[in-house]
Amino acid sequence: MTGQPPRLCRLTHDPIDATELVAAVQTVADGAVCVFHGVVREDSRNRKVRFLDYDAYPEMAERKMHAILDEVAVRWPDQRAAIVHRLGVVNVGEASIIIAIGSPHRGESFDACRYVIDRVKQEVPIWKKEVFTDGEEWIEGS
Amino acid sequence: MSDVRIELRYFARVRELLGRRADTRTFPAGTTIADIWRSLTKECPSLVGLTWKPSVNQEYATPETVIQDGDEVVFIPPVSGGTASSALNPRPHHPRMDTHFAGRYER
Repeated sequence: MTGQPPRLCRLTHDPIDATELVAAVQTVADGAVCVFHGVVREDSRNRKVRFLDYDAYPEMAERKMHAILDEVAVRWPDQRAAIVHRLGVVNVGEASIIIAIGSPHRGESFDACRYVIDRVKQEVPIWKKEVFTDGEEWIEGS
Repeated sequence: MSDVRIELRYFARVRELLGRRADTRTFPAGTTIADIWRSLTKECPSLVGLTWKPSVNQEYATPETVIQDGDEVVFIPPVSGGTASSALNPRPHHPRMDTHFAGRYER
């Protein structure tokens, strides 16, 4: 195999297609593709969620997502990672984020996937508002 | 010393409380990000007590940062975070994030 596939790292208002992420990270050298879906759950602190509404500082969010993929490339040079994050209304059961890792071996693919989602939660300026049947609330990380 | 003209952009709760997405404002040279927040809270007291950390030109900064002409400044509310335990920090909230946050600059 020659050359790296183009990096997939973006925000979208549309449903995320996991197969696109898999295609973006997998090479013939890989023995594992690890895919993480962060999905919207119905119950939040005993209130019933109708949907989540995601807001972002889009330029900085994409910049930080690219920086996280750069970190992955340094830590795990033989792996490839992709991130797609939803914005706007995301319904219960839908993915708000999907991460894919292509890796020669499975063990490191889990490590890298966990690393990426944790870094996204720390660094990327994206906010979610929970919209309930009886109100709404911005969820803050700290 | 001349004035500096900056772009302020608002997101999430800050945007909703202010009721707008952006401002272009002029401040005296030497103004810090904390000074700008104080001016916003005078205009919109419901901002008082919000937690945020600043970014300048799309990089995290500190409240003591002195703004420069042409800067884009954002008061970033805590990000979505989530409550899952973390491989990086096995605590519900991320200490690294906590230290980034400026705390409360309502005065």
